[in-house]
Amino acid sequence: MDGNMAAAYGAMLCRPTVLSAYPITPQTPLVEYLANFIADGLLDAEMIEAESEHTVLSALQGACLAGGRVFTGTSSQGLALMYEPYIRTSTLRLPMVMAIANREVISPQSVWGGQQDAVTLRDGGWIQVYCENNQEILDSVIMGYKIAEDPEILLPLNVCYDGFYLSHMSEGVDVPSQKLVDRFLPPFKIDHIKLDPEEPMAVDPLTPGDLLTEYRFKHVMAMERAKKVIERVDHEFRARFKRGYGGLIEAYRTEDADLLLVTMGSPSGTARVAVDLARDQGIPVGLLKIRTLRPFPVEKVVEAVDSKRVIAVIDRNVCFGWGTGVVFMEVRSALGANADGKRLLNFVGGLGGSDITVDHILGIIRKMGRDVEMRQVTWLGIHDV
Amino acid sequence: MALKTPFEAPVGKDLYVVKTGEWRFQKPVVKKEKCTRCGICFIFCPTNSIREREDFYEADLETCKGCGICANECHAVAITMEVERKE
Repeated sequence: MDGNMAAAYGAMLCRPTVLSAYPITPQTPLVEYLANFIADGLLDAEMIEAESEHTVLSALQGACLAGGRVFTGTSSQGLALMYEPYIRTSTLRLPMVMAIANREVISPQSVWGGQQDAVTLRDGGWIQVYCENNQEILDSVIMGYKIAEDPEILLPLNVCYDGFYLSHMSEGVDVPSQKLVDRFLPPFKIDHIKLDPEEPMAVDPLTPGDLLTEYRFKHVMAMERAKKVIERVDHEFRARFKRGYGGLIEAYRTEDADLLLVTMGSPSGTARVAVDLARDQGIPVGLLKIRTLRPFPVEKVVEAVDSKRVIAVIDRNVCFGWGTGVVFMEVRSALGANADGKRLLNFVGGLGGSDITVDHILGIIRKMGRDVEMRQVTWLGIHDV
Repeated sequence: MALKTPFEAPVGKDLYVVKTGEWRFQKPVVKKEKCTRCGICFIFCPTNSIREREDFYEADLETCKGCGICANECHAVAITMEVERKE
């Protein structure tokens, strides 16, 4: 199945009660699959067909406040239109899962892949998980509700997957049984905010700065606690479903590696192949896959990078103002003084649906091994690799 | 570490409410005999401060911020805004 269908099956298995979505490429099939599930009687949920993404997320805020388990998905300009309810959802501490089929943002007009839409909202207060393949999409949706609804967390969560590269690419996906998922994920129960007409309560009253500071503090602390919870849920998932993803990061062939590639999203799969090929040639290279951009796994990254000499971060997005990609900027911030004596390289590519190929990554690995001065940020397709 | 609110998010019963009445420099004064009880002040009040009394309407000064919309809308010209001075 394709990535959108994997997200749809993942959502259905979590028994959501209210769905809402506005179709946008490349997320559109996700909405169609969910509508089909309801029409076919496979899923007992209310589907709100809204007139915009702003309404979609606003309607789901209300449904979640009333105690519903809710799901939606979007992409690019749709996410941009959700900006206002996006931040209100996280600051209201409403646990929900939203799929993002990552797409480039406009201008220029583009419908193809790129992670600019979601990474731009990295400070929107949501947990953001980036997937490598379609199985991980389905599994991350299921794990997502468990993480988001944890009483210690209460945060919304994005399951991000590269548009077309995953959203429209078909591969084998194991769909777990409803029974197995029910045992893993209990029904949604919300205590801290549930609306009840018998017990009127205030939602978002005008709040002075000292109290707002407290709410922010609690939100930030919940995000910190999420690091542990994400890892714990991954362990639980592995125990029940016999597959896991390492939680915040996944290290591939990093033991005794001198060179380290860092990726996020679908290029991770390509990088694994390139690492295997390079290892066959005796090049000591490994891969660090970042799963969660938020919370950013600072400690795990520092640990993973510890003994590596050259680190190359591959970004499918840009960080305006730093002249780099976002993941590179995050990794460099995480390392701080620990970066001393190491070589940090950034490769920006895969924008607007362009390919990051095995050859690209093999070229990057060759560059990493060479002891010559080189630019810190290389743009695939503009600079030679 | 001392926290002032037990709430995890700004949703709940008995949350802190900003007393917008403290922002006021003028207050609406209702001439009861002129009030026709049409309720237009109630409908237009942006802070939901108008209370219905036995035979007239008046503002709850806890939350009335003195914007004067009620005085502006009152067909019977029963409401006048009077400048308040702090003692």
